[in-house]
Amino acid sequence: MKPEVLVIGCGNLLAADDAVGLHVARNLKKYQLPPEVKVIEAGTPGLSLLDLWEGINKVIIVDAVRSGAPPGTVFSFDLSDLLAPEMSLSSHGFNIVDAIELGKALGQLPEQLVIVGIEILREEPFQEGLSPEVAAAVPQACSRVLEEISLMLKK
Amino acid sequence: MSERRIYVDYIARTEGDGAIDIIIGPNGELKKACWEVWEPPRFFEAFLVGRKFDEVPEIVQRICGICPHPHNLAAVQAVERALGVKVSEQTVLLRKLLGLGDWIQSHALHVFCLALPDFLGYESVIAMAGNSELLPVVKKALALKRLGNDISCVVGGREVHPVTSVVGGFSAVPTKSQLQEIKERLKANKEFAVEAVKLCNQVATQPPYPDLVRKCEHVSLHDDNEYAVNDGRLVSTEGLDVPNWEYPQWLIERHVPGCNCKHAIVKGRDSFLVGPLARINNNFEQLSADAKAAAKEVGFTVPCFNPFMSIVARAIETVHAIDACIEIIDQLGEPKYEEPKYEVKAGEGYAVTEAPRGICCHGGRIDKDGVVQKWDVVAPTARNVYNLEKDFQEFVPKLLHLSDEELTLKCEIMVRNYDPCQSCATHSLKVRIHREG
Repeated sequence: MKPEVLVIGCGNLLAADDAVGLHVARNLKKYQLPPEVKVIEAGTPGLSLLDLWEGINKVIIVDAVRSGAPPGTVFSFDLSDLLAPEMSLSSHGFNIVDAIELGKALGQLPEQLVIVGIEILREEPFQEGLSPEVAAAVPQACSRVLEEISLMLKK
Repeated sequence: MSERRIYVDYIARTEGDGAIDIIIGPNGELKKACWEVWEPPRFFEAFLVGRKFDEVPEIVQRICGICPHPHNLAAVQAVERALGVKVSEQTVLLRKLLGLGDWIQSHALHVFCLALPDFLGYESVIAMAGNSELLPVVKKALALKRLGNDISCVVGGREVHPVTSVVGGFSAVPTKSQLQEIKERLKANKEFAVEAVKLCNQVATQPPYPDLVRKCEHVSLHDDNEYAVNDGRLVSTEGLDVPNWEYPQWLIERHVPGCNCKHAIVKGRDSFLVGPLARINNNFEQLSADAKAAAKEVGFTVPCFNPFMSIVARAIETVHAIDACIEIIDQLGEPKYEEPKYEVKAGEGYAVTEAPRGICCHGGRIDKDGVVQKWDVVAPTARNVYNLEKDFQEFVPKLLHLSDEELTLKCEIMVRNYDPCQSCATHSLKVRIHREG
């Protein structure tokens, strides 16, 4: 069974704060989520995003962003205010913005797509663990995702 | 009169970091044409020393996220040669399927997402998908890539880095129904693969590409009985014909200043090319009937020494890979689990597989306890670095009439002919063209 709402946590556990989306996804699993919601840790999915959300109409992506805001700031965007390319951090090949753009061109976007972004401080390779400011934002980001989930389930 | 310089410090749509630096003197003479790979070295060979033999295939496949299977399979076979292990026919077939699945996904990615936008003048595959005539091509290409990835899931146990392919065989085998589902999808994707050969040939035969021919040695595996994937003799268009495990004696590497990647030559000769064009030149007769027919239909003949035709070679190989996978699935029938068997002993072994980008070489020495004493890894891109530089030296003087912008794009296309993966090679990319005058 396809879930009604899919939450996709993105990031690289070995690139410091870039992993924040995965930390949020893991944390969300501690909550008792409705059965029609599924949370996955996708790593750096690139083009596979299109496969992950195939057949699902409501999707929340959680990922690190870099916009110049103070580290730990939590944003949510939808496609209408998407998304300066520099706000994506995936290092390999297709990043998330590319995948969304290609999904748009191919007519393969979910009807509702929200991105919850967490401003990060550093993304050095081969570093595990989050900066304190970013780690402190994980509960807030989880709350934001939960709000978005309840909005989506109401629609 | 001043120099004209073209310098591209990061080239999009390749893996890893490198730069093109070209300096043209006031009289149009080429003063410098370099491909500087500055993706940092990764020291795999060093940290494999002291690891157990069965960890090697699992570690080395992390060299690459696009072609993990050829790395895994070359290392598995090198370890088996060192231990004197013989594997079953079923294992040989499953390994071929794993390798060919990698070709399908990598060729689909390279041809349609990386190379075709170049030739058609789009900034990216995303921009290309904005053209309503090309949109169906992009959709079908992504379905083809998905199929390649799913072959890896079914045979290797997951999409990217396989878990089932181990020393002695497979720790789990696919079911007949999984293989049949793949077979049906292979059949469904074939028509598009055949059509793609025409599209690729159309773009690669536009001027100026047909004039850009440079004869050089093309090296690949060869097997008289089939289009070589994981085994065969190491051959070339200049008459090299040796057992593949002798590669360290015949393919020589040397360090060069300014480049984190060694330069490779054939012993006693010069630079060489590996990859789909080399394979097709050495193995045309072993292609499937439909792949040969697709080549014939567009007038592709061997030997072909035009590197811009690599995109056509990839498309022809994709047709072949689909046919070969179907044949292997029929031969496999209902795979049965066989316990991987080997005895640990001291030994030395080397092996070569054909990665999508060309020969992938692994091997080394293991002590009596199965601990690695020495390990050698040479990925295909490393073989091609020196040859690509020679392409620049040959072709840039023929393209001097172009604007800097156009010349830069042509240089990038030359790089992408090789589908390079610098992360694997460092052992890439920035173009710098500088014209004096």
